[in-house]
Amino acid sequence: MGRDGDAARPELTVRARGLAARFGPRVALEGFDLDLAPGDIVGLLGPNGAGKTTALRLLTTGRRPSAGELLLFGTSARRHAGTLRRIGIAGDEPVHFEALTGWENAFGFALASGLRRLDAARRVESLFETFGLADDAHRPVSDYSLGMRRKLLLAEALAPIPQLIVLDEPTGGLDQAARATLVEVLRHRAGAGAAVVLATHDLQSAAVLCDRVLFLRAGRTVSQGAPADLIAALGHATRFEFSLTAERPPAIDLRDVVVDLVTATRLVAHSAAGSAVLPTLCEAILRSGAVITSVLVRRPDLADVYLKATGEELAA
Amino acid sequence: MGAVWWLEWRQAARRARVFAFSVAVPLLLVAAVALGRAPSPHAALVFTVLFTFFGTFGAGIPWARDSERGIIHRLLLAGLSPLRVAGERWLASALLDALQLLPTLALIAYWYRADGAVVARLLVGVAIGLLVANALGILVAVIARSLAETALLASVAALLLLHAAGVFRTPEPGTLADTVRRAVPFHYMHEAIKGAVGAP
Repeated sequence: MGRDGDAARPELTVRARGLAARFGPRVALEGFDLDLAPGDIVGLLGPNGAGKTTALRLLTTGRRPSAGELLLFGTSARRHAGTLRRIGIAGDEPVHFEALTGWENAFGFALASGLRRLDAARRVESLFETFGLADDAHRPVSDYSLGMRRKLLLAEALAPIPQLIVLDEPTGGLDQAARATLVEVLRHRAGAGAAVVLATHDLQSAAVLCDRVLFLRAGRTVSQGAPADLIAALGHATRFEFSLTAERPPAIDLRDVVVDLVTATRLVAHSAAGSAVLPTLCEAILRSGAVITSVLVRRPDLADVYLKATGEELAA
Repeated sequence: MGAVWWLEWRQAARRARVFAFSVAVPLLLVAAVALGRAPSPHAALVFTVLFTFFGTFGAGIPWARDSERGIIHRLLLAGLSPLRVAGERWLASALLDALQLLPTLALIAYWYRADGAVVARLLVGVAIGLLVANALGILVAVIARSLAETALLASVAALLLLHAAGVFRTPEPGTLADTVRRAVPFHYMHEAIKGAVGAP
């Protein structure tokens, strides 16, 4: 992501240029560029297999890029304990020592990240309070729910106060309150100078949290920018989502309606004329022989940005 | 010692049932051989194989399991070097094995009426054997790609080394096999066990 005035900015935490990851003939990521400065929060969005997790693996030196250049903290990225200790990583699988308690896991990983015992204990305790794990701190992880495991993983990633925070599906399994807490914590950390990059399917949280988002599809960046700008660029058209039962995709040809996607079971359209066109649109669909099973009228969001960029739906 | 050492000991403390089994199983096997009045060379062979497998599997299988589950990867991503993770686990695992085998070694010393010097030699010999067996287990688990592969490779590697150590047959003095046997640390564990049970 080229930015003007790079020289005036503080040292970039991440600078990636043309990163690629290939698994034999399969291209998982191609031409991936990313500049991440202290305080930035960037979201990687896209469907399964788009390359989000692969991009995070490259950024955390978990995998060597097949091509391209990656600088972390101003130096060429390589797998090194000193580099990794500046990165807080929460992967998509909340893996722990099952026999140990949540507190023992978090304390152990805090020690592994180089913290002294006293600091480790203090920070773990504080994060357990923040994420609402304090009451369950001394229960074995094998008794934890998925949401609790996810919170524990986040506490472990954040305990060392890393300069780069890398999160894969951080909101998976979290309830609304925990998501709100996470957004607050990440904003606070970014405010203190940490750079955050996260891969997620949670478009709502990404829209609220991220300064920038990158949409990936089949390993390539198809759209990027600030969430508000990307949504504003769609115009303020009202969006209609129909679930259908039909033998074939209905043919809709209405003056005020733009059809974005149509199949035998689904139709997505938008109109600058607002919800006033809804009766006409319903009538046209019914006339084509389709049965409408549900309809949703809403304002545009990040899913529409992806739909516009690719012609495919990000989430049904 | 660092984080991995701490985590290993906390796990051992939390898994009291596993610890108890690890104490009881070798104790029962040794008791069966001793009470059955097996000839001392045969008893020594069984004990050497038992202790070797105890160390190899005790280190290799948990490493392979943690590796499959992604725990080892997480420790590395936390900023620990692979050597440090392996080194701390190796020492913790070998020391745990030694603690778990102490009642078994006490039974051998008592049953075969070993004197103080012989017991001291037994302890040192078994300690060396366990260190090597644990290192072998971790090495095999790092190379292998699954739990099953780890178990298979650990068995084959341990048996080959025991064979090279002269546990199953005594090579002619002065031959290459005799030289090799003295270079394999399991040889010293076997000699110490032979001494303890009174085998020639």
